[in-house]
Amino acid sequence: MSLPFSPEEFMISKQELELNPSSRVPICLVLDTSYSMNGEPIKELNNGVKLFMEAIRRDDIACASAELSLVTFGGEVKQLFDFGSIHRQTIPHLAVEGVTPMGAAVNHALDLLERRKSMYSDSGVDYFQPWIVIMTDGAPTDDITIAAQRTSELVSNKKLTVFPIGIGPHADMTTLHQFSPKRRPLRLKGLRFVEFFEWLSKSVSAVSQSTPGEKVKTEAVDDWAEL
Amino acid sequence: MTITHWKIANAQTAGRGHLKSNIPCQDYTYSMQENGLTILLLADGAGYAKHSHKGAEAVVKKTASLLADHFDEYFTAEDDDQLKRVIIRELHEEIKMIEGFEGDIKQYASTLLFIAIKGDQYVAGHIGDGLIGKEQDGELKVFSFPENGQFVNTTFFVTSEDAWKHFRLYKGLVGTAAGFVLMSDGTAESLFNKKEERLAPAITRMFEWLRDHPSQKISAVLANNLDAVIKEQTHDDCSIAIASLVTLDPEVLLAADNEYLRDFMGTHSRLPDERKPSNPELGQEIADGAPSE
Repeated sequence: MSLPFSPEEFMISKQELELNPSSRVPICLVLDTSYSMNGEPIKELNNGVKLFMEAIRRDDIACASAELSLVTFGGEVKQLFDFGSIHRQTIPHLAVEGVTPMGAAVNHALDLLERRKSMYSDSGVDYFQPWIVIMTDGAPTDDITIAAQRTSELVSNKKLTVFPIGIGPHADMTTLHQFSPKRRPLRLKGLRFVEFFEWLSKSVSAVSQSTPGEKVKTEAVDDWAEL
Repeated sequence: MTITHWKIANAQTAGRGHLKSNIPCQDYTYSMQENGLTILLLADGAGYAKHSHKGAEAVVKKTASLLADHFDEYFTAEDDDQLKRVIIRELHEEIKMIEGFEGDIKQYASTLLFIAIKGDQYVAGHIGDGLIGKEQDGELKVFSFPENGQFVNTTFFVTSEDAWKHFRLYKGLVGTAAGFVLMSDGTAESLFNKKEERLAPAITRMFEWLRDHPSQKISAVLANNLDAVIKEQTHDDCSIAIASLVTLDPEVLLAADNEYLRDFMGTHSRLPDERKPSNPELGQEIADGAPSE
């Protein structure tokens, strides 16, 4: 059908529009790299993180929205990178070391998140509800009370989603549950890190495309979680 | 001596996300003129709600009828909170009347934006995100800001709990305002700078187009721009409704062609529901916002 006007005459140019930054999905991975993760677990965890970052990079919308930070706890708390575009982050190689300071790691992740949220507000960047993924194969070797209180309060006020994931039979699911009053911790099926991170990347993609009021549907977790 | 009158145009289009998943456009716009009253309306159906496209249409048309019937009453009402409750109640009742209503009004959730102008008075309202802007003394200004929850994908709807508390009702005198624009959040991605709280120059151009060309044509132009340009910066549905004030010398009006005169007389617009155009022969359907898919 022909238009009742000349499109060229009545076409807005990009220069007449405003450009807003993409709305961001902040995601923090808090990963156990203590010595008990030695061998196949750390190898599969590395594979999973690599796959996750590559999958997000392949999805234009998710890549423009997702901002990843990575904190590990093995011997000491390490911040591998602060929140930023996955496109510009180097895929890390995680190595095992020492004990399991989970409480300090979660606290550090929350501090990074608070700082990022302030930056979003100051720069007029909209953001989706932040996510923290906590993965461990054991029990913390430090006090998690304050960190668990902080995450629980944020979750209760709908300001945070926590994904607590246990690895192997020795993961302390009771402790993980303390970080997440709503979403119960799930235990990884075997060493299906790759399947978990694939699910996580699809969930990030779904959220990055969601619109106000939309309830984001994530895929079933039975591929990677023991149910 | 000069003569002034408002001209109106509106359009909406399904977003890329909805086209991909075969979901209908959930934005609905409407504009009308009757008995000296000019009304723009827009509603953006909630993404999660199964029937939000029907809800958006129902609340837009019902609000149009309420404004057409009760403008003076609303303008002079002293208890705004009571008025908000009454309008929300009417809208909920209207949703329940939708054919095949499935029992949960939240499945028909939408935002609502409107402005009605009569003489030098206006009544405007806004629930949720999207934005109302105006042109005054040659400058674009935000008239009503988006209201989101803490996160970008949360907002308030006509069907939300205590919706009246999020119903921003504005009444006053038009003064030197010469243009109004309603837009959904999808359109605002391109026409509103969130950090600077600034409206895009494109809006001025749209007002000018409408002043210089027939309403029907500019509704088609707006639809074309939503599809070709605005939609590229979002995955959401996009919609817009505009009103431009035209100031004319009487001589110009005497020499104007018939199409222009129809705009001037408001006979291009029509009323929703069972209402009839004031002159059926001249009445043409420019205002109805059937979603384009």
